[in-house]
Amino acid sequence: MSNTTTEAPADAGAEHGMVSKERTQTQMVVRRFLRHRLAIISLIVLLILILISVLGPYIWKWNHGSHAGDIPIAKGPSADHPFGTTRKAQDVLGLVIRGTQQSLKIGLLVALLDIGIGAIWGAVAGLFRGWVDAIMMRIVDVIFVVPFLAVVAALSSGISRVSWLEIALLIGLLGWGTTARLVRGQVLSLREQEFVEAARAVGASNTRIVFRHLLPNVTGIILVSATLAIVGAILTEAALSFLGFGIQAPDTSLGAQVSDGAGASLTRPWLFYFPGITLVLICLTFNFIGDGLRDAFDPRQTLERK
Amino acid sequence: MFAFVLVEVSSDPINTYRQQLEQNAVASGMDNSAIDASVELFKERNYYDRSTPERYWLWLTGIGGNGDIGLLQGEFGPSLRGGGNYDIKAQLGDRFFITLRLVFLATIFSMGLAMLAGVVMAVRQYKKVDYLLTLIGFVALSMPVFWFAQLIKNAAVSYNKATGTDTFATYGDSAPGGTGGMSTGEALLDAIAHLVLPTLVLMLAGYAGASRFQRSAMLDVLNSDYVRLARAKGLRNGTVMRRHALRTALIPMATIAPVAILAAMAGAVVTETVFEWQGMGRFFIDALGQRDPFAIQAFLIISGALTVVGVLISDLLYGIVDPRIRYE
Repeated sequence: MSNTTTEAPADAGAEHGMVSKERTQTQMVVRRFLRHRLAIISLIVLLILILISVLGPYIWKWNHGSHAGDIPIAKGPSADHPFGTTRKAQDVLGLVIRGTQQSLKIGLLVALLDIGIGAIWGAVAGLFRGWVDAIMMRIVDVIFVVPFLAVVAALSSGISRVSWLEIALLIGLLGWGTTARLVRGQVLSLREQEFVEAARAVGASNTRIVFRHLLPNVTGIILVSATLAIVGAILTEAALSFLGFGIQAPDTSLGAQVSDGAGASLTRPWLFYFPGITLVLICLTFNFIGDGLRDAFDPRQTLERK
Repeated sequence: MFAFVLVEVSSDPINTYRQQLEQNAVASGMDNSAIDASVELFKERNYYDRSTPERYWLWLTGIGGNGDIGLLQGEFGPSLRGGGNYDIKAQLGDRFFITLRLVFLATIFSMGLAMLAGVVMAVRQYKKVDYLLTLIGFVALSMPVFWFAQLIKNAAVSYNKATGTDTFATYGDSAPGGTGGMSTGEALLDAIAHLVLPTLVLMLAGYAGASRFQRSAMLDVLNSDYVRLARAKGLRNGTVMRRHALRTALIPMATIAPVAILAAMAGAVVTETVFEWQGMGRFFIDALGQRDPFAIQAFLIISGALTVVGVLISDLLYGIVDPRIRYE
């Protein structure tokens, strides 16, 4: 965290005769986050999911491809295939592992783009104000106005055999408007504060001010916004796959699996529920982590005195 | 705003058409020159013999076209499907209202529910009710719309089977045989029966975000000085809530309602697919699937225009409900 924000929580308790150690802001944030029980559980579940998706392909004997002849066709869950098998002789657990991997990859890349473009865009617009701000925010407005799902679907239907990378780029490049707006709003008030003036007085360049002074102060907003972007990206990918414009066979994603399973969800429920529940679980963990981060970074929260 | 539509021209219908013809060449007995001739005719009818900027200009203004193109004249251009018999404008006109009634019902219900739940959560902050409703909200926020839609549909189908009735209509926007033979009352009942499930699905999707928003709005108000003052004056709790807190806290919802309608429109694309509705969403999916550029553009233009109007209304409402905001 930046050394420009030095809060002194020690004062708060001292008057009441309580002794409380002075902590850096990072320590405070971590402490507050750790108190958020759901967020911690979510973080653990998420780490397990990431581990499974990274190591799973090496441990589990079936991958997402077809194993005609070796795997029974369209059988329910059994000891050999705990999540059942599909009509194309695929192991559903193998599919889910692969799908989780794809969803997480898409989510993380979109979050990176969201932070990389949106945060810097917003910070620059907020710092310079005037016509630079006007032009930059009009561009954000245009991106905002575009009916998101429709355009992504239209664009990805133009690409034959879409890969996860292309989907992530499409979602990421069209989706950073919210972050830019939030960051700009914060920077507009931050830039009037003394520490920016001080940085200017000692001759810091604009680049240095943006990266060393402004962005560290909006870390909270950026992180929360990024977790929401991840959820949005994963759900968008799933919706795209469902509409038939997402990742195509032979590769797979959780969305594609759910939409394949949806047609026969009454006769072969395992095809529908296992990928679906995994998808919900991933999004739920990110949502709770985002909620925990929001609480942790909220300066109005003072757990010290409770 | 129109600029992004240009991107849509990136698809290449001519090649697709040629490939179709070539695939059918043996069956239809066409030789190469016949194919070339058909392609030329196809190009001319659909204005693909012109360069991209020319076509864009034509599409926008309709000057020099055959009278079936030109956005400013209220025409969306010819469809490449069905040999020219597929009328984009007529199709959109029918479908627009089918989708609209779904979206409006869902938004009204989800907003109402979200207000109620948000206020309850804020008043009972960190109590069991708050945690329960928060959990429901987060689960709703994490569910893909189509997954939930399918879940609901399955439940309804199972229920219908178990009871041997047709309590829930799970297919289409009206009865399969059409509503022609029914009286007005029956047709209305039929429409309602078909609306229940899709509305429920869309409602939950909108509810999640809105209830969080309402909760934090109400919390802000409850922690504000004037509510503390009202309490300090010795007003009864009920009076403080009704007269002071609730009134102020409900106002911000007005500003997110237009945006919520837009979100519901996007959700409707998916919901319509699951419940096999012949609405706007279906129109768009079909157009995409069959690479029909003018139809895709028509949909994008309409939803883009709706978005602009929605955001504008939301901004204006902001100024009306919050007197502190002034437009220069």
